Amino acid sequence: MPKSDDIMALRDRALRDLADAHDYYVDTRAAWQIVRSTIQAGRVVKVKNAATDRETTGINLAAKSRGYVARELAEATFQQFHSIFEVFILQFIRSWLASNPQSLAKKEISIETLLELPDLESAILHVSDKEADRVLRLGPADWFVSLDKLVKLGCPTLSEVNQFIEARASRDVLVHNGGVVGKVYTAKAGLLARFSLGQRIQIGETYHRATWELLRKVVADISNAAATKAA
Amino acid sequence: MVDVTTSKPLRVSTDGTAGPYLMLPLDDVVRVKVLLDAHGIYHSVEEDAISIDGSPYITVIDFGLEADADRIQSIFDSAQ
Repeated sequence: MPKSDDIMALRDRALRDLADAHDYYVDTRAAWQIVRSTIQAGRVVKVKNAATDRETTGINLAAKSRGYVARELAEATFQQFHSIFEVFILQFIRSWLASNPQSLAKKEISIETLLELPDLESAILHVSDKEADRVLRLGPADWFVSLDKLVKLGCPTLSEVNQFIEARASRDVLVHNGGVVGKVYTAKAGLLARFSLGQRIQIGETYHRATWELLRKVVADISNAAATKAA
Repeated sequence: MVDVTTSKPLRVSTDGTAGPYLMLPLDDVVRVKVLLDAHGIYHSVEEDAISIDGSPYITVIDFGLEADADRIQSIFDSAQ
């Protein structure tokens, strides 16, 4: 079993990274608001882009910034939240498996790989990494099933898992389908689907915040429950 | 080395957490890049340049997290 302190360190890192990502979101919004206020106050602002050789004037910049914040910034940070959560889950599973090698008893390792590794501990780490990667590739619904099999934590709740699956499906639409809802999204999101076929996914302010809160809660709940078991 | 638009010396800034950087007029970039290249200083010119109230376009050269700000400043100070 991993040490309680190690679990808390994983939790603290994930929560700190989520807080940093949200600060970036809010600070960037604020910076754009300052730009808009500056332009509205009559300052003449021009921006030159060396890559595209385009020039944006103040009025256009103010107008474009609203889209940058509402769409690009919200979508980018939304995806960042998911990346942070994914890293947490991967590290948590890896750490738990490595500390509970009996759960890896039926996993296979080739003699070739075994001969390349210096000791049993390295072999356990190797198999733990492989198994954690395998679980992560299964998809979000299975992450929690695997977690439950591995450690009976009693969290997250079914409602939280379903919300997470919808949020993850929204992220997948942004990353893999140009933001346009396809059948994969509606199938994954089920009753919680927020958009229908052909619509463009939107990451509104309330939804953005709710997802951030959900991920924070799941990270904290999993870690706290696991730390209690490990203590 | 001075800023061509203000005639004030170029100053490397170290505030923030992204490493030393230099704000300079767009018109100065080529001249400064030549100097930095000659001294083997890693640098990256930001793609955007901003003009406010008709002033010259200002851009930023980043030197990276590990950069030695004092050394870079001394290069500017001793250049003509």
